[in-house]
Amino acid sequence: MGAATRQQEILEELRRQIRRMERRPARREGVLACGSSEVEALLPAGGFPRGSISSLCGGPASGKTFVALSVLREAQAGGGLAAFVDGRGELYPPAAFALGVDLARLLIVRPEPARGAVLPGLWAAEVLLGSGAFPAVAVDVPLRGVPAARAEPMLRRLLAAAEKGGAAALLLSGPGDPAIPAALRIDLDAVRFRPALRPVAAGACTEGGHVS
Amino acid sequence: MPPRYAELRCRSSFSFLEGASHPEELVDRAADLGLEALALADRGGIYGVVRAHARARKRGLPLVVGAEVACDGLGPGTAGLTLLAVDREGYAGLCRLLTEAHAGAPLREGEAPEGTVVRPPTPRFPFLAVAERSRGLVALHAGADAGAAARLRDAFGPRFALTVSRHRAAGEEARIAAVRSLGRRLSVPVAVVNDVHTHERRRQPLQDVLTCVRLGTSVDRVGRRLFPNAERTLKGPEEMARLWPDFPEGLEAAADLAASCTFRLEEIRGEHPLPPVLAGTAAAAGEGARGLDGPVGGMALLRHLVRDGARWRYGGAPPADVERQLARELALVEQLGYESYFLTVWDVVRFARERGILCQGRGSAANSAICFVLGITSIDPVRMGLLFERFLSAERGEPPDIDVDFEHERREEVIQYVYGRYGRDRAGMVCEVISYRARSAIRDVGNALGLAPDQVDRLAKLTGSHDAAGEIPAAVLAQAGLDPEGSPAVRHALRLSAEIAGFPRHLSIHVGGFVITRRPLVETVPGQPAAMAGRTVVQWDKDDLAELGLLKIDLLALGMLTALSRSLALLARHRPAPSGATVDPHPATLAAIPAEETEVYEMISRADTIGVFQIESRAQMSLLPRLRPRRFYDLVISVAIIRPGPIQGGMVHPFLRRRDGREEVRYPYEPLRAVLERTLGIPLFQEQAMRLAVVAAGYTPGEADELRRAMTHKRSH
Amino acid sequence: MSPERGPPRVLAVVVPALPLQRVLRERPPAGALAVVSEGAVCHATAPALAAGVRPGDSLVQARAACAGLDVVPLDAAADRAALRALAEALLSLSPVAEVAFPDAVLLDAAGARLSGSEPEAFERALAERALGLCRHMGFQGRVAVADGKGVALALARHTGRERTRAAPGEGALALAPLPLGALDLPSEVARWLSAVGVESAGALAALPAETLAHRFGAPGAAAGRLSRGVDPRPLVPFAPETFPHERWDLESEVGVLESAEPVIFAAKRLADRVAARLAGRGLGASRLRLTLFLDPRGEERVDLPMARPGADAALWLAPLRERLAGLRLPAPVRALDLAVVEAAEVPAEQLAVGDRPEVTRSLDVALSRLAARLGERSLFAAESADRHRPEAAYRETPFRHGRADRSAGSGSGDGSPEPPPGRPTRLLEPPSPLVALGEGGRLTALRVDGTLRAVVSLSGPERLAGEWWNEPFDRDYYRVRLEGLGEAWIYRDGRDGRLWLHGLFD
Repeated sequence: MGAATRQQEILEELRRQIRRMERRPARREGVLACGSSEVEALLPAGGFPRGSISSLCGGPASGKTFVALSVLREAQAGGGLAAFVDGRGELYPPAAFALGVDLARLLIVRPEPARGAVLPGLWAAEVLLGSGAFPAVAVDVPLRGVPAARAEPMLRRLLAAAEKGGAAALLLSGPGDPAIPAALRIDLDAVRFRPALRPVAAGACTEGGHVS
Repeated sequence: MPPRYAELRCRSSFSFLEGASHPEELVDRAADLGLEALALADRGGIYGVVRAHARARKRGLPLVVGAEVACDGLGPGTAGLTLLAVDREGYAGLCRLLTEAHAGAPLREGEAPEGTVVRPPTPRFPFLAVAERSRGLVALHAGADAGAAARLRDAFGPRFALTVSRHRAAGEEARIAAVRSLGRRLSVPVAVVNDVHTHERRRQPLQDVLTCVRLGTSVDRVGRRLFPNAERTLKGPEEMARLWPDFPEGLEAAADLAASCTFRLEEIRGEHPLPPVLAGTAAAAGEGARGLDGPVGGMALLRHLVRDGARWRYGGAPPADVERQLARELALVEQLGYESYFLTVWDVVRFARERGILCQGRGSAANSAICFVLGITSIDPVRMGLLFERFLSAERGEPPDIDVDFEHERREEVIQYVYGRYGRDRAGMVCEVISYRARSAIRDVGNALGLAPDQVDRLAKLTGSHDAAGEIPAAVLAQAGLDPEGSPAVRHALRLSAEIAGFPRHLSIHVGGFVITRRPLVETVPGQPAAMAGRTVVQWDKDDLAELGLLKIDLLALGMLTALSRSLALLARHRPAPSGATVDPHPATLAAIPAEETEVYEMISRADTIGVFQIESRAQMSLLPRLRPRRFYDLVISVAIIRPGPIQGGMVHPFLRRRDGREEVRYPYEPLRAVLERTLGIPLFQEQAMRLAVVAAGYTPGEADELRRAMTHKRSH
Repeated sequence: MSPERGPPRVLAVVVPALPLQRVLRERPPAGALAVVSEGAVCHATAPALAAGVRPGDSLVQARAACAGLDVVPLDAAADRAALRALAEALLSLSPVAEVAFPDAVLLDAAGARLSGSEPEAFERALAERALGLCRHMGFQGRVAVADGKGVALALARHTGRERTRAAPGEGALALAPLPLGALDLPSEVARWLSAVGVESAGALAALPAETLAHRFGAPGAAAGRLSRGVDPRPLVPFAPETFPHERWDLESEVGVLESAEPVIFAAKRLADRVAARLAGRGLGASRLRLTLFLDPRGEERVDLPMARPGADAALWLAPLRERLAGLRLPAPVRALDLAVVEAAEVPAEQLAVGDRPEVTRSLDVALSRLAARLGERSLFAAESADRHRPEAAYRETPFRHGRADRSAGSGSGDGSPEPPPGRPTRLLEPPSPLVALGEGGRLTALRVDGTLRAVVSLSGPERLAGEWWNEPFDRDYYRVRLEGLGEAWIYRDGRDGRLWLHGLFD
């Protein structure tokens, strides 16, 4: 084989490799922490897995949002972005800020009420998860009352998107909501779960807990 | 046992642009609430404490004197410290501290232009300076820094306390717990305070506006730099007990600390300088003291000078009515203890005359026979029928205001004499508090409320001469496109600018006023430097000084006297060489000028008076040809008649008609003839109003003076 | 004076008799022609002038002088547009251009020190290029370079030469022989000056400065300065008003949009062109509008907000497809117009967080899709707002994925102090009313969502009151732990004593 042809072959091989790399979904290995060692200790992988759905179940004041925000904060720690699909419109950003979330790198999606909350919210989550630009996306849509037959296909698409984008999807749900095809499910019981204090900046403490 | 509480940390409007209540309002409210005592501690000074003291005296409320200072070197950054005077010595130390701290920032004369914000800079002290003067002072500190607390405890001993407040703010309970725990560890008492900025919660909106003015912003941009609620206000013992069920000891500690501060401003009342002849040499008393042995002073000296002066004025023994008048006046002066005022002014005038500086007393001092015989004024009040009570009366309770004009170019020499005579450390200038008036109020308030600049401009222009923006008629506002109904911002602006009127805006210097004290000034009242080197301005204004009976004299500058002085000098230079025994046509002194020259009065009657003091205005020039003055008293009438009172009272034309003989001169009541004869039955002078009250309504002269003051009352505050 | 610190050097380009020149651009070499406004002659060609027509003549007089006169009415709007177009072209020569109606464009000529060449040579070259661009646009221009725009304009308009240069500091010298009218003074000042016999700029410069200031205040002082060659006024930058738009007429109407490929194809071509024009101006589109013209009449408009302003046509396609996919049209499409509705300056491309260009691209695509389908107001980032009122403590801002313009990730753009502690993760807007049960003044239970729950513990109050100038509020907030639920954030309204549930510590 001549030198020119050899060179051509190498170039072609390189091009193929590059194409392969570019096509491969940006799946990153590993898990995301959540900043509370108590919770992490309970998890099989020691954290929230990327590329799949984790379900946080609990009542209205059980602490699931706190956990979700903590995970988003950890996802931002490496310089990444985070997203919160706020289908109920209840997320209170100052609390997220107090927990250490970088608000400038937190995308909040709040579908306008006229369009309904569930479908647009889930679709938005799918787009965000699939983009590969968000290591973690929290999703809070009112699933209660949606029949399982409708919910299931949408949730499967979410899972596919999470896998493709290599992102951790955190679905917040309440008791009585349809089942979620999650790799990990945490039930938060208000009576026993008390979020712990977590240092945010040197010397300062945010009060995440109850002051007596 | 009913709860006890005293408020130790309270700011008034004299914490410029921070405190939102007048000192009097705070005192009244504190008394109404049943507080055991109130400590007034404004930032960097004790500007408002005399007003508070006057009201507290009336209400019987113990008033503790103090100030808030900023301390460097106590901990990281600058720490706030409240200092309260325990006794006279502590008070002197506080005054010294405040004087030293202001040393770098001179005061300017005059009023700052509308729309500018002037704040006296907060003086900062190195902690060591404070520690050195800790005797007789209580120190309060609000933080939980153990290092700072330990150093304060070392410096102040048992007179140091940590403070806690409960304003219902986030995170407060943790701070309170930390301070209490620190107090226990260091064995330092912990007292409860409210850090008062308003006398009642309803005043909070104005306090918010002051914050915006101070920060140069508006309410929609100021954000959380405003207090989160209205809790920094005066609260009574019952409310405090409900607020602190967990810490009654803190309330007790506050009350006890207040009780330990026994200094009251009364203690510096009337500390007049010793009279000029303290040194005791007869020569120092001037010409009149020939024949005296040994040191003289006080009333004895005054009587002596009056006797000599009367002989000089009347060329021998004075007439009986003058004698009587002088005796009355001297008795009153002795009773009220005001001899120092006369002696001090006499001494200054004597100095000026020796130097050939033209000077003359003015105003109500002319009603005093003492001032006449001492040579301070040039009008014989007895002959002119002037009432002494207009100048000084027991009822008024105010010291006499003797204003003296000097040639303006040579006034400085007189001032230097005063400093030399009494000492630079015992004489100082008097401050003037520039307050918000209608236009400056609406400007600053309008900007703070976020009104557009052109709206603020319009409102300010419309306010014009009204007393407050709120008095602009609704129709005028509507025409200018400003609608209180439709615009809450405009409505608030009108309301709050009325509330802020009269609030101190910044300090300035009272021109010509000097306070002279017996003890060094710096131990009586704090001073701040003036722009002129070596001059100090005390933190109190003339009303404050009068309230405490401290000696103040006014040395004013009059350009006309300079003109007269120069005229005499020019005449002297240009007089021809004497040739023969003719009367010297050119007078060398004012006294030598012939009075009542016909040609002069003819000039005046032709209204050829440009450049002549007091009768060169257009109004005068149009009146004089009708009046045709022929003697000095006619000029007196001319000057008096062109004033708002007689003009609005419709006196001018009746007088002129009677003068021209076109109307009969009548008196409604025969005893009034004596009062009104000189003015053909028409009352023109305030004195006549007073005498009418005495003659026709049976007032005492003192009461008549009060009537006069009520009639002419002008809000200066 | 060195170029760095001297007065501003300005190049003025003047098109004499612009209305006439504009008309002549599009005609073959003209004979006798006059531009007429309100019945009077404004400008006339050389042949017309030779025949006796004069500016100011009435139409009757002009025709009388020249029988075969061609008359064109003045079209001020077209003249202004032509001048602006010239300015747009001249923008390639200078960072700042000012349009000085009716006949001039001013350019900043201070670039000598940047180009490294001698100022004189630089300015001459600049003048040549400006004249060349004028010819390109069909105009015969005149240029002048001087200190300050008033001076340059006066020289360009009135020296009669095609090129004039006044060296730094020599503006007065150059102006001196010009008549007073060259200075474009306020009429009051000009009248007075001619009344006192001042006829030239040089004579005006000889007057003492205070005279004019005293009589006429600031305008007078400025006039005096101008005559002495001093005019420090900065140029007022001209921004081209219209954004690019491009139109495509379809060869045959497209009926049903499912076979929308021809429309998509056309839209792609339009996007390429518009993007290229934007890029030349250093702009990026933040909002596009595609207008579909229907046959025989009617229009359908599609608005496309962009997540980020850009000039990359490829990024516009995905949202475009999204929107077109959802359209139902009442009639076939015969033409399209793609216009830029909003644009912004686009700095040099920075790589996104994660430093993978295709990630940035996919992020932009995702954001654009969300904005297109849900509406751009459904996406935002929050920013701390410095307010005591809890529901106002944050505001919605466009999501810029954390780029350069933020300081170290604090999320509070105005440097405000730390957020208050003790805020719930969920806020209910509006708050929901509560029914409370109490005993002896203590709160024992609350009814939430229809269920009665016992109070386990309670802390507070935190008193928040204020905003009296706008919508006053007065609330005492408590953190209440409710049995079986968790911690709730409730407040008692200070004005009527009612209790409200405002948030949940979820």
